[in-house]
Amino acid sequence: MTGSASGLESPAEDLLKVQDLLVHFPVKVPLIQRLISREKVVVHAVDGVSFSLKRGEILGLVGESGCGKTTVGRTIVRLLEPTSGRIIFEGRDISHLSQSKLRPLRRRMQIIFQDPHASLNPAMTIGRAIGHPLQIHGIVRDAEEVRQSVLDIMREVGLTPEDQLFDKYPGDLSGGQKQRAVIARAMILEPRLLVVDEGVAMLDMSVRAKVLELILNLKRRHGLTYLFITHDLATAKFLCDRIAIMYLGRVVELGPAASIYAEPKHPYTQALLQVIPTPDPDKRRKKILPRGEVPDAIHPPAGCRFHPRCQSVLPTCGWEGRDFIDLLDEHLSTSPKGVEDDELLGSIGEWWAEGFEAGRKTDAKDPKKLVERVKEILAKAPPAMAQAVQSVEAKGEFVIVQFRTPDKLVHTAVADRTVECLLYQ
Amino acid sequence: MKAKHSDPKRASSLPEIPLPFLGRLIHPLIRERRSLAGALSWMGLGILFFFIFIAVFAPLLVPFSQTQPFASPVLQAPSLQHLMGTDNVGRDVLSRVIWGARTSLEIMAIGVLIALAVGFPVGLLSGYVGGKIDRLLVLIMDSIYAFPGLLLAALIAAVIGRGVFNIGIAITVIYIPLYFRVTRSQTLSVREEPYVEAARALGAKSHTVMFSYIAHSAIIAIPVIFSLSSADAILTAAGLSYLGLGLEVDTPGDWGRDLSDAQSFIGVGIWWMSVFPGLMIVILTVGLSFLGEGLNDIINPILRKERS
Repeated sequence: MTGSASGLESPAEDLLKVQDLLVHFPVKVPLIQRLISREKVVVHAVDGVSFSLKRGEILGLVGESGCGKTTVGRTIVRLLEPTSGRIIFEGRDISHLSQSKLRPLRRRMQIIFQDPHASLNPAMTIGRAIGHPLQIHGIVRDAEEVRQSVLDIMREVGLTPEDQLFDKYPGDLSGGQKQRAVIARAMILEPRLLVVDEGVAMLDMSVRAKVLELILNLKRRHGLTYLFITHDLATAKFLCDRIAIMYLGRVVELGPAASIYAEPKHPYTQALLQVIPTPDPDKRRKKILPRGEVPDAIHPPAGCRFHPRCQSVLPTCGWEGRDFIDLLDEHLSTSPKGVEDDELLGSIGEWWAEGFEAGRKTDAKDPKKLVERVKEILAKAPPAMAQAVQSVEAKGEFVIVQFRTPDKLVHTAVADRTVECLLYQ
Repeated sequence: MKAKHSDPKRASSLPEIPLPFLGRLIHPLIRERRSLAGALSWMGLGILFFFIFIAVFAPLLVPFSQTQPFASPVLQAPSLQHLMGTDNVGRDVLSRVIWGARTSLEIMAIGVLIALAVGFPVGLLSGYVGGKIDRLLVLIMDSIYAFPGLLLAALIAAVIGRGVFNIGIAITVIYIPLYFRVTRSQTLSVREEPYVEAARALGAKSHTVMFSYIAHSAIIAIPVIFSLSSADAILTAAGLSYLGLGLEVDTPGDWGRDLSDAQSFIGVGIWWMSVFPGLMIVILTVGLSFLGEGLNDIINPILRKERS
């Protein structure tokens, strides 16, 4: 106990270190299907995330919904167990610690959820809810002492008049008050790390500003370290020292907030920053938004996960069979010369894609014609995709489109940050 | 001293009741008193309290404190002296009906309270822990549940013998699975709420999470089950007595047994021996059913609102 405690206080040390964090959720597959195919179906919620948090820092974890940012937050406070990778908190590896060993550590790391209403037990008064952590950890046993601590912390987070609100139920409070109560409940344990998961997303603009102010005040007064998870870039810009941009389970760009906002490097960050509304109508630029939607995390794209939607995509970014199917689908549904294609290309269901190959069994006597047609379609595809095609060949009774293998993607240091993009490698 | 009055704004929002569970139940009951569900509930409560009153003050209320046979003339029709007449062995029917309320409520209370005391925590545990323990408990409870209630109770009563407490135990076994299932399904739906996860993040141990965070929400469904199973328990107890598996012969009052005894006299026009005990069973079970159904209609919307 004493050994670890003395080691903790060196300020240079990172409070939290996350290394190659992987969190995969198994998908429930019907028994029969499970027996037939041995393939394990998992959602790649978090797929290799690394970052560290210095003491007293606010790190923003920003991304679209479904990118895995919430999973990262919940795994760090070990509400979830990581599939692999390491979480090092105060110099101690907590990635696979048992819940009973985690319990004393929970005093020093707390999480605040998005929905303040749902985070409070409807059958518990505010005062009891805020004071309960003290009793859970056996810090204060005397009821009067608990009450005093609760009233103190309520005053500190601005939950006033505190003696009146003490006996209210969550249902009687406004959204902002509830979020303050949730913050008070976490703060009463005097944590070192506070994970705020979309903590202000459900609040009105005016209340949101005040709660953000409170978050900054608490940091200043208690030397708190925050992991601030949000999809709201404007909030992150206001609050965070550093920002990690997440896309589909990976951090694509990580660096100081100011410079990321000034000059985003990764194409995804660039696209994301364009959607921040600009208050000045004269300064509005033309927005170049990413195409399509976020792919599903069960089968994430090969190579760079953003490549199917990327504006600056390269031939080496990870084009694969599926991308060709998507192209073909788009062609079949939009092309006016439908009749001829119907015979030649068949329906989209007849095509398969596996890894870097896409193909179709052909019954035509002259598969050359189909090969030519596929090449014509590819010529109209985005240039990067067309260049990524290694060959279109007839092999026996199959016509196969073969893509090249993508270049390996690594985190590259660019100026003051790390970016995961082939453009900078 | 007028300044001491609480300001009207606070008074108008219903008074704060320290016990959240009772508050969550009584406030809607008061608010809904004019609706059909509310009226049914209050009617059922009234009937229940009426019988509780009779049961508690039975020794003071009975006109003839004796329960010995042949103390009065046999088979007297209802008269001013014997308001409900006398039975074939000369006992006052009214006195037996009043004592019967006591035995019925005793059996009901023992049976239903033990079922609650066992079924609720086990259901909570099963739903919260999940996995193999849950599957095993569900299997056990479902096999008990699948058994016809009266038959099971008769079986147990035959094994452990007569007496108010033993009959209570026999009845308990029927209702444990009911409380178990209701509590378990409530627990399953509450378990995933963010405030339960928040409690885990605060470092609460499993039993703290279960009893401080889940039980509060799971218990709201209990009053409905409590009323309905009470009604059923009265019927089952009477059924056991009717079949001769119930209480000792010298029990001062036993509705089911009295009904059974009266059976052979119905044909010869001696109606009072069967009508009065039978009527009591009907009124009490109907009252409890009213209460259960009324509460059900009041509580379900609250549950739905709390979920959203």
